[in-house]
Amino acid sequence: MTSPLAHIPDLAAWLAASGLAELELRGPAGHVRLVRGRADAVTAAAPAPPAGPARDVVRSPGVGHFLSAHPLRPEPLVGPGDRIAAGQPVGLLRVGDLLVIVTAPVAATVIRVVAQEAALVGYGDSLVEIQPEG
Amino acid sequence: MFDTVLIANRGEIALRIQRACRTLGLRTVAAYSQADREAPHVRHADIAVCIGPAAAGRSYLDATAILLAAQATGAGAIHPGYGFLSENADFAARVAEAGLVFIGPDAACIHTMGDKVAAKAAMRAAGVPCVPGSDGALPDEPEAVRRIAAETGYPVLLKAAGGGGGRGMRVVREEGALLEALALVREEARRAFGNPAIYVEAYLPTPRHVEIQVLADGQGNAVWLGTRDCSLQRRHQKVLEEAPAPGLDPASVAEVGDACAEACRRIGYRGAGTFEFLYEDGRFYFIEMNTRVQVEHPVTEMVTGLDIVAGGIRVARGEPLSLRQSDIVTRGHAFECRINAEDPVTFAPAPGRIARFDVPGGPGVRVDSHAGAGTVVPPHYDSLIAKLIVHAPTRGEALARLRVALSETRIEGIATNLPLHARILADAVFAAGGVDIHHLEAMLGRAA
Repeated sequence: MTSPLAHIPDLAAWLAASGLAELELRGPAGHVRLVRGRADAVTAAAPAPPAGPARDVVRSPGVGHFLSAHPLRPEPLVGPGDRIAAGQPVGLLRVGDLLVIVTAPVAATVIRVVAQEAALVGYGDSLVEIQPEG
Repeated sequence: MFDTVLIANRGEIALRIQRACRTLGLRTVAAYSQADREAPHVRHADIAVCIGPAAAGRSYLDATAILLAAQATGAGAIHPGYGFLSENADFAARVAEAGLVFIGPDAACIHTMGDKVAAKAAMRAAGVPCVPGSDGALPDEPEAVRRIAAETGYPVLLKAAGGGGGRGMRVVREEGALLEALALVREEARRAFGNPAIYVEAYLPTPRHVEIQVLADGQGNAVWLGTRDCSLQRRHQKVLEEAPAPGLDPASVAEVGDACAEACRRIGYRGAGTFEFLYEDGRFYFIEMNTRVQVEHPVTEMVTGLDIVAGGIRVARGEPLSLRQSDIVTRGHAFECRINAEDPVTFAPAPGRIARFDVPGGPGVRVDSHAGAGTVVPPHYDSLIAKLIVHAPTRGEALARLRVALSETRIEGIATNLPLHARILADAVFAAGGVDIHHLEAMLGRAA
């Protein structure tokens, strides 16, 4: 349920212990590539957006009820036209008392929030439509 | 009491569990992987939610994802089915800690039955017959090892306590080879399982695999529901099962069955379960207990007329078992063919899209399957796509029905083991009944 980025220290430790030169994970929400012995080599990004203005969606990392705003704050985390950075929260998944942050995979402009407020969503469901930068 | 069951499984058993829930008036939640979006149990569920990608480690084996899905959907119970997390004591404990009902025995029971030495001790205490051998791990002193092996009687089997599935075992036929074999198995066990503990059992050269189905409520009531014979195996995988096991002495079966029910009462077992035995020369030897519903449960349902899956759910709801042993009557004979998406010669899994699926019918014919024309069999899971089950008043009539039903069954687009089942049904030795666990592999070896 956490961002893949949260697992990078663990992945780096496994990689260091394994004797592999490189570790790359690909999934629907993005990809992570770790290379041993290069200070600048940790990269994490969404699938590279195709050249041109192809739209993309932020997908649900797991099961929960989608919230566009934090329960204690009135304003939504993002709205149409907002420019967002990679890793910026764009919504929340509520499971009981637990709130899981959904983050943007890439820098982008928000087109619209597609998930219904408080709707049950599952892994891979579309939450927010975005226009990646570049 | 729960009124919503989350089904933490896939394939035919997810559909089977859902049918049982719906007939009991319970709501169902399908927690599925991305590969199973089109599955019928997802379509029929009151709530369906995708819990992760196709890889089982991030979906059906992801305890956290399943528990979160249960909480988010308001499910009061989790049914684990078979495989995946069904015999994972930690998962059962986490379900209970989350305030939910695990449909099956409690974590302590699963833990005891998962430890071979502890399980055997529990069975001995209840009077269930076990394979003779050392009580627990062998000592280091060569003299003591020789004495224990001699008392057990040659040939003996050296087994790693941490092994399983045919790994970490060695047959020793005479005392002269004992110590060298022990050193080899110990080293193998140390390397493969990180546990050098070895125990010894009498080696049975040509046993049958006979098992006894039980149903218990954890409130002091337990019944056994007759025998099954699952001797037709390839690489420890069952291929074709039947109930009852043919040619057994009813009095000795009843004695062992009563001991199984007694073992359930003693350990406070709740739910459906199976005691697996090796059977040779008229005697039963306990191997292990499966603390869950099994793939082959339908053959017992056919001969007893009971719904074992519904029974397991009802006791999980806290209902006392209404059945008494005297209520259990088995009628006729049943067979089950496991139809797998696999190459009938190499046995390699054969995932793909099913283009055509002709389902057989007629009196006494039942097909448990989630698949049909258009179904895509994903490569990520086991290859079981359907179970063909038949029932008739006698074994001979059941065999005749099975042959006809099998000839009506047609699956195109992917390779299946239907030709293997046809070969088994043409085998005169199998038709006579009572083959041992090596029969199928010997038959395949002869043909090669």
